Amino acid sequence: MTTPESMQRLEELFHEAVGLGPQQRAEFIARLRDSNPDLVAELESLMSAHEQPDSLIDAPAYEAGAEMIADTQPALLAGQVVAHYTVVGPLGKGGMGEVYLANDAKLDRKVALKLLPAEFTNHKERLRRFIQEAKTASSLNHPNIITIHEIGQTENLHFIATEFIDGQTLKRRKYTKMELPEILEVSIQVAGALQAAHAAGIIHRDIKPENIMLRPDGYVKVLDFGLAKLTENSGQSRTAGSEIDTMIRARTTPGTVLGTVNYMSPEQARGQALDQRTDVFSLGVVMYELAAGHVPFTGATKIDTLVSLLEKEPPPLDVAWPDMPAEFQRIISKSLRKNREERYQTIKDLLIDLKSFKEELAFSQKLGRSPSPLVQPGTAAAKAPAQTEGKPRRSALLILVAVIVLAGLLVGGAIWWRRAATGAAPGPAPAQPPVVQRTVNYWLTVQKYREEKPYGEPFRLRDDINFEKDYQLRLHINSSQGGHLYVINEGPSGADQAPTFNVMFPSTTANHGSALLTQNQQIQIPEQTWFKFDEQQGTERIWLVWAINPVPELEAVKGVANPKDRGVISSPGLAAAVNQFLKAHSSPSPSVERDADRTETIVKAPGDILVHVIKLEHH
Amino acid sequence: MVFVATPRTPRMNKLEILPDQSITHLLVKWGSGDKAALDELIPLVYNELRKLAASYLRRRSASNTLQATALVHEAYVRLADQSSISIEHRAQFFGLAAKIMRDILVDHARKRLATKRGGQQLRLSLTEAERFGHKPEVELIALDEALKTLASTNPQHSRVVELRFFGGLTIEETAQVMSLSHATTERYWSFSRAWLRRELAA
Repeated sequence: MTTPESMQRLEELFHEAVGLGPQQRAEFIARLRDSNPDLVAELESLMSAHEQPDSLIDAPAYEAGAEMIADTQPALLAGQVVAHYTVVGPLGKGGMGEVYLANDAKLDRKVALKLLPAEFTNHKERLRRFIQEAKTASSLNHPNIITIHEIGQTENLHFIATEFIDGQTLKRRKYTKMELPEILEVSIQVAGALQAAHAAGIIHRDIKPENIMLRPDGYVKVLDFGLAKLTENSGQSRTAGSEIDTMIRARTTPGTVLGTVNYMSPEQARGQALDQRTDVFSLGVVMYELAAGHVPFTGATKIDTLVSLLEKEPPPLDVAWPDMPAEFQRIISKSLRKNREERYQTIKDLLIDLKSFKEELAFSQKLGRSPSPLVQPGTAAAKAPAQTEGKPRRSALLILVAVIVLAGLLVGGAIWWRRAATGAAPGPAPAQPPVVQRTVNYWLTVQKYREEKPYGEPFRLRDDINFEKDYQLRLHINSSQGGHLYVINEGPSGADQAPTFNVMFPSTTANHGSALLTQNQQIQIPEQTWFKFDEQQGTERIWLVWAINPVPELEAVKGVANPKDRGVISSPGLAAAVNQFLKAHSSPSPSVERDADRTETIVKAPGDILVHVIKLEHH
Repeated sequence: MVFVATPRTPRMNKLEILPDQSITHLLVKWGSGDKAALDELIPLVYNELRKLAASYLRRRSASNTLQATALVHEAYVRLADQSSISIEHRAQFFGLAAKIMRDILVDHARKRLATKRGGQQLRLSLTEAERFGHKPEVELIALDEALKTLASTNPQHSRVVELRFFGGLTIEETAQVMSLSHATTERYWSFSRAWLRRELAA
């Protein structure tokens, strides 16, 4: 048995022996054979290894490994054969490993072939449990659970062959807005799949848009039952620095626990034992995202997201979707309770609520066809359930509120339905989506200056820096949407001073003075020169306003962005109007994320106006 | 206030991503206990190592000479702002990069091995067959396993190997990262190397 002590002894002897000439070494070993016979054989093998420098270890790893790193080719190429499946081509990279379209030679049908990374299949017991769960889920023969044809192995390669679904995942689909009936339909089908699985004792553990597929015929299929089991505790095998190791694994290995924090339940984030209520929460996150256009818990980093998940309440849904029926908000809110004791206790309860809500909607659809004019529901009534949620409903007042709510719900639902529903769900989305979202990408280029000379080349700003004297910057904007862009600078000002503004865009220095950008147009502001700071130090704010329609308050001031006025809004009245507009539209803050290289910032906000502030320190 | 500079600045046509202060900044934050900074550092270093590996391969095939510079060093030069980074942060960076390098390489080795074994009827082209004749994947995985064994009794030795082998660091740099003396690092390295050679030969 090797112990730290025996290794230490061995090392001492090793160094002693290495320092000796051949003759003395032989004597040394001979002496040792008497005093320490059990170590001699070990020492001799080490000495002989010491003199044979032709091992992998003798050149830095990158010499052997560079070609492996650089190889980003798919693991399987068209025409390759795995068991009796011939690979047709890649379908995509799933949460865990690559997925290929393949042909089943035996039955002459298309299958989706998923390769399981070896690191997840090394643990035999875990693999066995996964296979058992996956097979059990598949054998339920539920229309919303993907059918597994085979879980197989060829030497070291583990694969799953499932029915091939010619559709798209919810992750892709969600980029085009869904109507309420479709959101409900998808949620109900997913809940149905989960209910069947839970009844068989299987928890999915990893409900997220990538694992939900939509077929063109309206069927929803839930993928990867039991797969999450394979990744559990995958960070534990490492030795020293396990925290870093775990994080590295999470970042470099897609699909490990930290890879998907957005849809995790709080108990999952805490590493507690899971029961079926974790699936209730994750489905709640998906429903919220479909309704709001963004996930409920986010942060600049995964850690921030986890903090948000564990501690913060998501923004109310009616911010993103003002006439969202209160009942659907209540359902989502109840699914997203951090304390699982307060959540829907079973997916069945959630399913029942979803189905009754769907029926109510269908009922109000009939009302909606009645010729009498409809009244817009009072916002107080619409918001009431969210506010009273969780408190005991004992008083008559609350019952009254509930009655009002129900009435409001029916009418509200009717209005909503009449406006939005053009066909029976599931089906293609109607032309006028109720949820509008603005999204814009931006980045800054900075040219450093030292002693009035450019210092280094311009670079893309990746992190907060202090803008020293004479630093110059440019703003780059790009969006998949078209719209009107305004960029306003708010200078540093004391608490008792009125803020000072100047217009950076639209201006004569970029886009020919127009605020209107077309889809995917990328602009640089200014085009030819740079922005620089004035003498006043402090926090400079750069307000981005990205709107579908022209903004009157900002249209009124855009004329000042010329070389003569240098963009300064000098009229106190206009400045006050701009201030009021910016402050009114900047709350709640839009969601902000960075791209993989951390050089581009992606800002998203519900509604038709996005207002985002960039803060620059200038000291 | 920000205003448009007069156009005396020379026109910039190319925008290059160059070392800025972000890595340095993140290293400082991580060093002072900010875990989120590590979360942001890892992908930056990871991507850079990946990119460098690809260009390393291109260079090698073009000139057929082996570059002496380790990828980790190059990543460091490209990512960190040389003028403002301290020796401790440099050591920190190397330590992190070596770990990431180990992870990247061993993961890829496992994946490639799995694929090669799985695609039994896969026809390897001749060059590929030659290239993989000595199976570096197998050896890398074996080395990784052996290092784990070593770490169970001698964690510092294992770390020295990680830095030297996966990070490509010199004895001097390794000593700096580990806060060990040159002589001790040298001794750890020579013993671990003999021990690992024997494990790999077995």
